[in-house]
Amino acid sequence: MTPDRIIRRLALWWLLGAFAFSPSAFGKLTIEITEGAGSGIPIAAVPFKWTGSGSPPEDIGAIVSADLYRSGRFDLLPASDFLSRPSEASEVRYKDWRLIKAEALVVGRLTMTGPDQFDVSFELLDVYREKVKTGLKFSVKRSQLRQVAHQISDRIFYEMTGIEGAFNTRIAYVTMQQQDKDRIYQLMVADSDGHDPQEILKTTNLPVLSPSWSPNGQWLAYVSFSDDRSGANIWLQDIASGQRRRIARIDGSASAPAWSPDGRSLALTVSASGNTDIYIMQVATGELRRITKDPAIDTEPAWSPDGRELVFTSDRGGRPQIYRAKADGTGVERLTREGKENAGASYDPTGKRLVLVTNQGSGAGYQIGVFYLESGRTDVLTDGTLDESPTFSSNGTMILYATKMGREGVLAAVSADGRVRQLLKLHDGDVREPAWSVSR
Amino acid sequence: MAWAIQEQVRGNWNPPAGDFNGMSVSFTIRVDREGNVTSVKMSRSSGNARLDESAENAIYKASPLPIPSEARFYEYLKEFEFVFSPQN
Repeated sequence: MTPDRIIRRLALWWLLGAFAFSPSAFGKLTIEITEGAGSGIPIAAVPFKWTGSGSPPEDIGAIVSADLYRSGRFDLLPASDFLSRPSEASEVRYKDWRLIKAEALVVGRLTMTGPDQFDVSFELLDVYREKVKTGLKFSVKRSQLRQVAHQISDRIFYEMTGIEGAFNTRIAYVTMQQQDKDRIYQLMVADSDGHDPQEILKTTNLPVLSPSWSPNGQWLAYVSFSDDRSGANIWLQDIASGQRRRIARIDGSASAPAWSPDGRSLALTVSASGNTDIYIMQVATGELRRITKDPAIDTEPAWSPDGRELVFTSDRGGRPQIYRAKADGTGVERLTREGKENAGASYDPTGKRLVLVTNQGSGAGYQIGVFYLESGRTDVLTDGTLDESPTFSSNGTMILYATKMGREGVLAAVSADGRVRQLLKLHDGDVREPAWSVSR
Repeated sequence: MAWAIQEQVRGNWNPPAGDFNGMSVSFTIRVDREGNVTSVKMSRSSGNARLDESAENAIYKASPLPIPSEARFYEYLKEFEFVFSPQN
């Protein structure tokens, strides 16, 4: 090709490609990439090798895979694609994993070492750098195996994202079952994936409401009602010991206790003398102080992470919307401006977002949304018609909420970026009002 | 052709979640005539190791890159610069 034809070719090419790339002064091509594929980090979690008789007591690899999937941050590669099944770093052929484009690899072993004694070990490997990123070894009883799996998930999550994991945590919730003419209420605590539910309290025909975890994860606060229905009781229950004490008895009705970040107070809703308002109660003394004084219904308080402000639901503007006030009740301002109704808001750990229930007004009912305080924008994450009671995980990456399947209430988790939604293990009866604890 | 390369790398990039606006990481890469990536050198870090690694992984996963087979283009193409600048 003659020189001037080469120049004309290059000129044409430059012209066509001007928007996509720019040759540098030395003639080297520069290509800019401004966004990714929009999917999670591809990770391969190999089933753990079991050394023992019969079936393994728990499928550690499956628990870890389900945790990582639920976070929405990972693309779990299917085990059917795996070319080999290593169980420790020395057995890994990195080429096998580059072939399926795994960026990270989880391998591990479960070994029975005694009648109720198990060794669990795992390693997380960087496929393209061919090195071990982290690993752990445990020696535990059978009853601790699921907890170990969640600890492994937490460690992997932290290594891959820099964010503390929230898989080794628990959730509290209320179930209601109709038995002939009676309604049986149960306050339950389970693992964050819905497994191992434990009954904390059971009542007949007397509702139990609004479980709320203390900041250190040791206590559950909740509301129950007296036999004669004359008042509401706020109870504190120590989850480990089962001991409980009543910290207040309120004439009228109460609901939605929310722990302050320092664990010293509870914000709650009290309905008395025809008015529904937010109060703050000192946990140590039971002393109550009224915070909102508007004749409208003010309810569902939640604390900011620094403990200085409260958000709450109020219909003082006509329909329920989210308002914010200082912890002494001054400086009330409206936050939500989009949508027909907004309610049930609570903060994420950074204090920059709220999760709430929103009705966008298009006849579609109620969904879970994330509200950005700086922009005032709401992202709708779910598509049910009666989604409610959302709560963030302690690291702000996942949201637990109550939804309906048919006529029954069930619990579901959605990743905070909206990517992954999962129903939790179903129980008999209506499940409602989930609350998510910090790490165990 | 450059779009094809850009798109193949983009489709293989799974950056970590986070706000990386304003940050960017650059690599100088070499390819052989089949488009196989033969050398990857980070020329400027974004300051965030996870972001850097995710971009580097994208380049490896995208190999072999769709470069044209005509020899006359190879001299121009055998060494590239990739700049990853995530925009939220």
